[in-house]
Amino acid sequence: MGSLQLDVGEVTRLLRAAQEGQPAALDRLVPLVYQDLRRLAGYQLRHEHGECTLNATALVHESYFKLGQGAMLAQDRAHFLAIAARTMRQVLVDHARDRKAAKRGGGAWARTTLTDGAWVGEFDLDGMLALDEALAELQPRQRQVVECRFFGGMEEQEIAAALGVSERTVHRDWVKARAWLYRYFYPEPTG
Amino acid sequence: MSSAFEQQIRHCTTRDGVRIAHATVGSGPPLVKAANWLSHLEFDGHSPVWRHWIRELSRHHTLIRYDERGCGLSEWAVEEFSLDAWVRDLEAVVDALELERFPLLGISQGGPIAIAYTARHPDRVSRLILYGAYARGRLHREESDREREERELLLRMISVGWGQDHAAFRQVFTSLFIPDCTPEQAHWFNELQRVSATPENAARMVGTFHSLDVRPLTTGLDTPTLVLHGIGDLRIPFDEGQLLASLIPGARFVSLDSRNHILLESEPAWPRFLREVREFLGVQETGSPAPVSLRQRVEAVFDEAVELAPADRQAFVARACADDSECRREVELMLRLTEETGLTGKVAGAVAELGMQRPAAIPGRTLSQYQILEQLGGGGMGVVYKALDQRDQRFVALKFLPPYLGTEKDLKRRFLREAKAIASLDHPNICALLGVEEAEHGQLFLVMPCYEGETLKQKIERGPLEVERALHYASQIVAGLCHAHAAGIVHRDVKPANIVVTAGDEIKILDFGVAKLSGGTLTEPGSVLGTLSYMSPEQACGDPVDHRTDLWALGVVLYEMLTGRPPFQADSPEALFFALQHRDPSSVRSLRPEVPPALDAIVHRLLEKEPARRYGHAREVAGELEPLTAVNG
Repeated sequence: MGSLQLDVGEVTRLLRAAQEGQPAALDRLVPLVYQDLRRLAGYQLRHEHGECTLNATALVHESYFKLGQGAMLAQDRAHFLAIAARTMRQVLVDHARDRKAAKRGGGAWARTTLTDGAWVGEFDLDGMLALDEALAELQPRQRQVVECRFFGGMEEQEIAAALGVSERTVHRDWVKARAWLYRYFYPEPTG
Repeated sequence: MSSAFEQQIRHCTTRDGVRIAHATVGSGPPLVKAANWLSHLEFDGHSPVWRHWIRELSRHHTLIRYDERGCGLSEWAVEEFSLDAWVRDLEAVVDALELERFPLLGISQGGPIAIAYTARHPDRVSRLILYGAYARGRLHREESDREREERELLLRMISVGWGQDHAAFRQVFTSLFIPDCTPEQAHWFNELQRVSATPENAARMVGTFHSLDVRPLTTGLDTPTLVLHGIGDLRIPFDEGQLLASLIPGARFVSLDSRNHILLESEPAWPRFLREVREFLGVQETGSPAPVSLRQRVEAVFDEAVELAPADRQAFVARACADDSECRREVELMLRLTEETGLTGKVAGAVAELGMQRPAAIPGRTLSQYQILEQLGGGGMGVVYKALDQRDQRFVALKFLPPYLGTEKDLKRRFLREAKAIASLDHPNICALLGVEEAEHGQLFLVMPCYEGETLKQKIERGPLEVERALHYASQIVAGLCHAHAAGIVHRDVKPANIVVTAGDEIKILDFGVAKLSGGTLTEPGSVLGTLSYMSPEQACGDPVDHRTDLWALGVVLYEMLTGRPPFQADSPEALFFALQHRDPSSVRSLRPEVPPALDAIVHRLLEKEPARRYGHAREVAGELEPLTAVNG
């Protein structure tokens, strides 16, 4: 699994600093989380299934679990998950871009082949980039709520704690965001 | 937290050694915004007070923003605050980005800075836009005693009050800057004051603003200039904007109907501002001539409408969209979507399918003992494939469920438990559930017999059925329902598309209990109307349902078999919903006189709005249908 790269004390310190309005702390933390998630994702891709499938939520939580359960306060945990969720999205988008570049030729990514006769999942590169685009069009907080839900598997209560808004606001954002996403996925008018 | 926009924050250093943070958003030719205080590159991206500025100004340009010294992400430990120093901040950013020539926007106190920069580098600035700006600080304006006291008081409030945990003092400034804001916007602006600068720096900066005077610099300007100012601006008086425009040679002046020093997204002055600025910058709007995209128009109305009680929404939307019918149609669609049940699952399913754990169902592949032959049901959730069961040498239908069902542990457990109950149903009129199996990555699929025949929907599409045939089918449907209800299983989604008529005229009800399993109806996306047509009033309301919801649906199916059309029809889900709750359908006999009155009465009773007024059990329906079948059959 590789060496433990995230240190709970350091992560907590950076989280707190970020909450206190020191964005430099985030600049330090995000690359750490990114590396960790990317490594976990690569592991899952290359070894676990032998195919291009990812369970993003599981990875985000795995990244958190490695920090040691119970070592963080709920508020910090929520913050961490929110950051990790967003970073996970970035990992996936970067992965999709890399893969597409590799498919155009000459990229560094080892191309995975689909196993014959097996029911295989295919990581939908265009789909992932399209989703990224759909998310980019959302209002920023709506987007964060969606990221927290989809990539972080977080409950509304946790999301509210992470974003510093009420649960009601999170719910409203979710209701709005999912309507936009639905329109994005199914652009044909209903009825 | 995450960036609101894809912005790259970098740092540069001024000639006097101050670290300045700057950010670019968007693409296209550059547009530089001279800094104003109360800014924070990261925070503003999230703020409902500023984010529409960033989004819109970066729509056609690479928007370049920075936090001036003492503010936001730039260095806070600063010795010098002066016009000259602030111009150095801007110079440092322009030089770091190697910008040659660009339009420059100055808002509020960014105005004098932009003017001073332009005076110093006339070759660099192609156009100058000044909003809510001024040429002379308060100390250079005529001041009444009251105004002087107010100025001093506000300055003291910054020093004394801004650092406090509560927002009371900061709220005063918020009320001056954006009097028409929402509570949420007020909250963000209160916070902005706290996060963007220390009270000491803020007080020093404001004190310096008061002493600014760039009037001497304006007269020599030779740059095309647009000046915009809100008529009711409480922070910088309208007169100062007019004065500014009169000082700059050839400047065009636009008055905006607003009290807000920072224009808010929801006010009419905002699109006006954008239109003026874009026209001035020579932006060619592609496609629609409207200055604001459909998405933005829809978003503005939708966001407000969602906050209203459902009953008030329609009137609001009609008013807000006025003659923008395109916007109105979209908003109404969006609002319907917010009320649709099962949307979360569909969106989650779509996302899961996109990025992760997507089943690549390819005919010819073999999954467990099933060889996939062809897709039966169209896309969307719950895709159905015909497959050959190689072990038992028979055809089966495989129905794939949304991927998230298989990955959420609790959902999955519940699902499997209920599937077991459904699999125990054994009745000639119920499509048996042969099993639930798991594909790789936990995705679940149902295994069902594959029937040759057509659905009742297909049959009805060719016209009403003969009365005897309708009775023959109805009694079989009732028999199936009797059996399932006795086992405590409710279908929840009985409709002609879910009923197969085999070559031998035998009825098979498909998808028993699947609607409940999946937490919603597993219908194609985009068929709100189609789904609602068969829902009982209580189901459409989202109230708890029992077996009597199936009796309602039976009534609808019977009605449709006899008349060729569903009892409730409407052009919109709202109208259909209303009809479901309040209208009595035309009697079957009024459309088809040869239907026996007793049968009409059965349909009528099945379609009672109140579940308690319908039949208590499918058995009773069977009892009433039987003599009719005997007579007609």
